Amino acid sequence: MNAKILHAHNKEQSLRNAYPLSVADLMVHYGKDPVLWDVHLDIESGCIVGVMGPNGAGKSTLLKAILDVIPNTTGVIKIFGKPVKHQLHQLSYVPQRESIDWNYPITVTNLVMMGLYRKLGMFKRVSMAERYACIQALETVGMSEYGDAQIGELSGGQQQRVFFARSLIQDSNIYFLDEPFAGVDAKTEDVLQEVLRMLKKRDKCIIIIHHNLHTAQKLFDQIIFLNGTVIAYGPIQETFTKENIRNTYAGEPKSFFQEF
Amino acid sequence: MHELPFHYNTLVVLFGTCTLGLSSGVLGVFLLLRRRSLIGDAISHGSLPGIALAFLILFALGMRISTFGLLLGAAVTCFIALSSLQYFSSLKILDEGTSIAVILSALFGFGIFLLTIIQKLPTSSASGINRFLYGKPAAMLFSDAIVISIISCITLTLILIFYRPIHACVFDSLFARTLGYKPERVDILLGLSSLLMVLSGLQATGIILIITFLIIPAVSAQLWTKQLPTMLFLSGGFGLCSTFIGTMLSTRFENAPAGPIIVLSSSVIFVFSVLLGKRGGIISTSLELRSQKKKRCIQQLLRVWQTSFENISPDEEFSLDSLSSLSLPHAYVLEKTGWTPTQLYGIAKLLRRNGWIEIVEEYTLTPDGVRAALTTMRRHELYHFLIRNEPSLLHTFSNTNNMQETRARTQLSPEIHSLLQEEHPILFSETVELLMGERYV
Repeated sequence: MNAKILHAHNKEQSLRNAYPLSVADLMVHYGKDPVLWDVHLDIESGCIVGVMGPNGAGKSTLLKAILDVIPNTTGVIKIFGKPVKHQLHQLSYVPQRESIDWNYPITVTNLVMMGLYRKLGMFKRVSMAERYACIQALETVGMSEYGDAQIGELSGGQQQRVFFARSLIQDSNIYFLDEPFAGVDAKTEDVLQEVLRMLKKRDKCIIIIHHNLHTAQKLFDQIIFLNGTVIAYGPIQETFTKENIRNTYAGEPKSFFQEF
Repeated sequence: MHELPFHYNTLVVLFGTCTLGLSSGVLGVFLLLRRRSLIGDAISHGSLPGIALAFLILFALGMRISTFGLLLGAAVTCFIALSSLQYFSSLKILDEGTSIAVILSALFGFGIFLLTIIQKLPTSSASGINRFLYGKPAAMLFSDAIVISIISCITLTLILIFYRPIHACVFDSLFARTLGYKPERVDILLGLSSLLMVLSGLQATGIILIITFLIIPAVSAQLWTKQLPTMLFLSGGFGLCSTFIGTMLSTRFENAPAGPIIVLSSSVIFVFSVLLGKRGGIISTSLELRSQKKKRCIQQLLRVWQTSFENISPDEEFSLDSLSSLSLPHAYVLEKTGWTPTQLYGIAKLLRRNGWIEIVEEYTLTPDGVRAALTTMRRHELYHFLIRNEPSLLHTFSNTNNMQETRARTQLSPEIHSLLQEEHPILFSETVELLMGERYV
C-alpha cells in the first residue's frame, strides 16, 4: 500500500518537474537521407529559445516533427512529461508567412477567433466575453482597427501581428514561431518583442526559428544551433560564440557569409 | 381536378438534384480552398471502369442491369481512385495535380476500353451506359432521387457539424493540429464526401461534367465575399440554382440534355460573378480604380493652385485669403495638369458639385475649396517632414482615415513636436487644425 502511494507520489513529482518540452533521440528521414539525427533537447519554461542554422539544416523539420506531422520520425518527444500525441493542445504555432493562402476568405477577427476553437468545441457560440478577448488580443498587437479586413488586405507585418494575436488567445504553454521576424517592419518588430516579453513573464516556453545572426543576441535567452543535429545548445552568452557559429554554418560557408 | 405543372415524379427528381447541387456547392468551397478541386475529376473519371465492369459482370451472370449495381461498381473504382490519389500525394514524388492527371487518364482510358467491348455485345441495354457519360435526370427513378437527396443531406450535415475542424485544417493545417484536430481525417472526410457527391451526381450530369458541381459554384462565390460563411451560403445557392434550372429544362423538354444545361447555367452565374463580383470582379475593380483615379485627379487639380501661388509670390506663406483671390484661366489649368479638355471638364464638374470651386470664365476656389487645397498641401508637407524626421510614423499616417491621422499627430514625440513647431510654425498649426477637420475626399 505504502509503496503504491510512494510510487504515485514519485510519478506526480516527476511530472511536475518535467520540462515543458523534451526531445530525446529524435531522428527524421525524408526518403533515404536523414534530415535530423540525435536531437536531444530539454527546454525550460520562461525562456525564449532561438533555433538557428543554415538553409536545409532541419529547423522547420524539427518543428514539424514536434507537431507530429512527419511520418518517418523516431525518438521520444514529451510535453510536460507526457507523450506529445495527446498534448498537442499545449502547443501554439505561428506559421511561416509563405505557408498561408492570403486569398482565403477570412477576416482578421475570425482568424483570431480560430484560436478559441478548442475552447469552443464544435458548436458553442462565441460569447461576448470571448469576442472581447479577441478584440483585446488584437489591441495588444495594435491591430484592433483592422478587425473587419480580409487578411490579404494587410501588410506583411500586420499579417504577422494578427497571427500573433491568434496564438495569444490560444493561451498555450509552448509557442512555436516559424521565422516571425522575416521581412517585417520596425513597428511590428517592436510589437512582437513586447509580446514575447509578456509571454516570458507568464512563464511560457517560446521557440523561435530565426535567420538573422545580428539580432539573435538581442532576442533570445537560449539558443539551439542546428545543422542536421544539435551543434550547440545553451544560454546565449555562453553558446553564441564564433566557434559555434562557424561549426554550424561550416556546411554552407557561402550562405554564412551572405548573412554578414 | 386541375393538373399540376409538374409530374409528382418530376418534383421528386427536382428535389434530389437540387439538394445535390446545394451540398456539392458547399463541399466545393472547402475543396477549392484546400486546392483540391480536381479531386472530383479524378473520382468521376475513375467511375467509368467501375460502371463498365459492373455491367459486364451483371451481363455475364445474366442478371438485370440495375442502376444500383452499376453505381456499386462505380463506387469501388472511385474509391480506388481516391485512395491511390491519397497514396501518391503522401509519397511526395508527384505533385497533386500531376497525380490526379495520371490516375484520371489511366482509369478513364481503361473505362473507354471496356466500353468498346460492351458496345460489341449482343444486347440492347448497352445504351443505358451513355446516360452515365452525359447525364439524364429525366431517366432517374423515384427511388434514385430519394437516395440522392439522403446522401446529399448527410454530406451537408457532416460538413456543418465539422465546420470548425474543417475550416481550421483547410486554412492552416499545422495550427489546426495545435487545436487538437487531425488534418488527415479532415482530408479523408472531404475525399469521401466528394466521392459520395460524384456518385450521386453521375446520373444528373454524367461523368465528364460532374466536376462543375464541385468547382464553378465555389469559384463564383469566392468573387463575392471575404467571409467563409457567406461564401458557403452563396456557393450552395449557386449550385442549387443551376441544378434547378438544368433539371427543369431537361424534364420539360424531352431531348434537352440536363448535364450541359446545368453546366451552362452555372457558367452564366460564373460569368456574372467575374464581371460584377465585389472581390476581384472586373467591373467593381475598374470602378474602384476609377474612384481612386478621381481622387488623385482632384488632388492634382488642387495642387495647381499651390504651384501657381508659389510662382507668383514665392516668399509668402499660403493663407486662406491669398488662395481664394487667385483665379486661374482655363488654358493655364490645362497646361499645368496635362489633361484633355474633356477630363478637366469632368473633374471641374465634380469639384463644383462638392462646392469647392466656382467657374466664371476662370477657376476660383471657394472657402471650402481653399480648405481642401490647404489640406492636400499640408498633407504632402507633413509627409516630407515626417520622412525626414520620424519615418516610423509614416505607416500610420499614410492611411487617409481621419482617426489614424489623429493618432499620427498624438504620437508625435515631444522633440518632433517642438521641431515641427520651430521649423514650420504655419505647417504645424495648420496641420493640427486642418488634419483634424473633416475628411474631404
